[in-house]
Amino acid sequence: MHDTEPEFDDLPESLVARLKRTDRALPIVDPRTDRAILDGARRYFVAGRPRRTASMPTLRWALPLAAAAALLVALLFVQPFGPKTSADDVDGSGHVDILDAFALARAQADRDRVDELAARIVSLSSRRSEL
Amino acid sequence: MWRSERRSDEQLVDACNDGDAEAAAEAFDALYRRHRDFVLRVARRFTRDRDLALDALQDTFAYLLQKFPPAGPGLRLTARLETLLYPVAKNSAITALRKAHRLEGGDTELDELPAPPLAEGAPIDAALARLSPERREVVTLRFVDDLSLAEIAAALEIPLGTVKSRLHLAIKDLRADPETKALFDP
Repeated sequence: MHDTEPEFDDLPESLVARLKRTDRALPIVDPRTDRAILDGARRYFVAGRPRRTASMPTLRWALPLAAAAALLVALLFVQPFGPKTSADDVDGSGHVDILDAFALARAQADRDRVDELAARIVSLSSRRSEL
Repeated sequence: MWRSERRSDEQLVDACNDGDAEAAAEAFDALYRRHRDFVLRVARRFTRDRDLALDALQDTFAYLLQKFPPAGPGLRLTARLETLLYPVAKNSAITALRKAHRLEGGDTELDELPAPPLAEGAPIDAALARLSPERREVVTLRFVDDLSLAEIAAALEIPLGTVKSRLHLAIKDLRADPETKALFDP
């Protein structure tokens, strides 16, 4: 105990324990006393200091930053002008071609639908070559 | 329920000095929670009265609050906060006691630590009561509040040598007292 100043006299443990026991039996503090002190402190600080709100420089940048973030999200995740999806674009390549017919066949789909898709693709391709 | 606070007293005092209103109030709350019982103990030692001790508790923390802006210049801790709180709590307690005494028409001087109440069959209390108030105060700060000799000197605003001398003499008294001398040489 108190070994920071060992040159000094100490008291026996039993006497120290007795002293502490006598002194530490504290009166109960009514919670209203705590509240009165702490509420008073809060009012004191609030009256004389800025509250924890966004300051004007922060607000000045908040709006442009939010708009830029929204634009970035739109560009990354939304493609309003991209290729339209088709039910015939089976392999998801963005356009309908003979590979979709193969993919449909691999998926063991309806035989008539595979034939119809293949015929349509061939006729589209021959029309394109005529052009 | 009060949540635990890990910041040191220095950090809490800094937040009271420089934080925004919310941060300062939170830091003050934490300081109050940490030191309330110490202040109450000190106040009770001098008043021996629950209500007067509670008055002194409020006055002590009101004094501490006024140290911080906007009213005060701010506080810089150079020692344990107890060394600042002790004299304030002591003076607040004595002031509260004097006020109550005046209202009751008493005229005794009340600058000293009163002797502890004697519990029936409590020889150690009797031995402590026989110490002079100055020696009892040093013994209490040292062994109950666990303050170092330098901190006691700061709290009582007396030279370190005086603290050492009072403590030495207090222990000598207790060694000689028939009620406690057996405890020194079991």
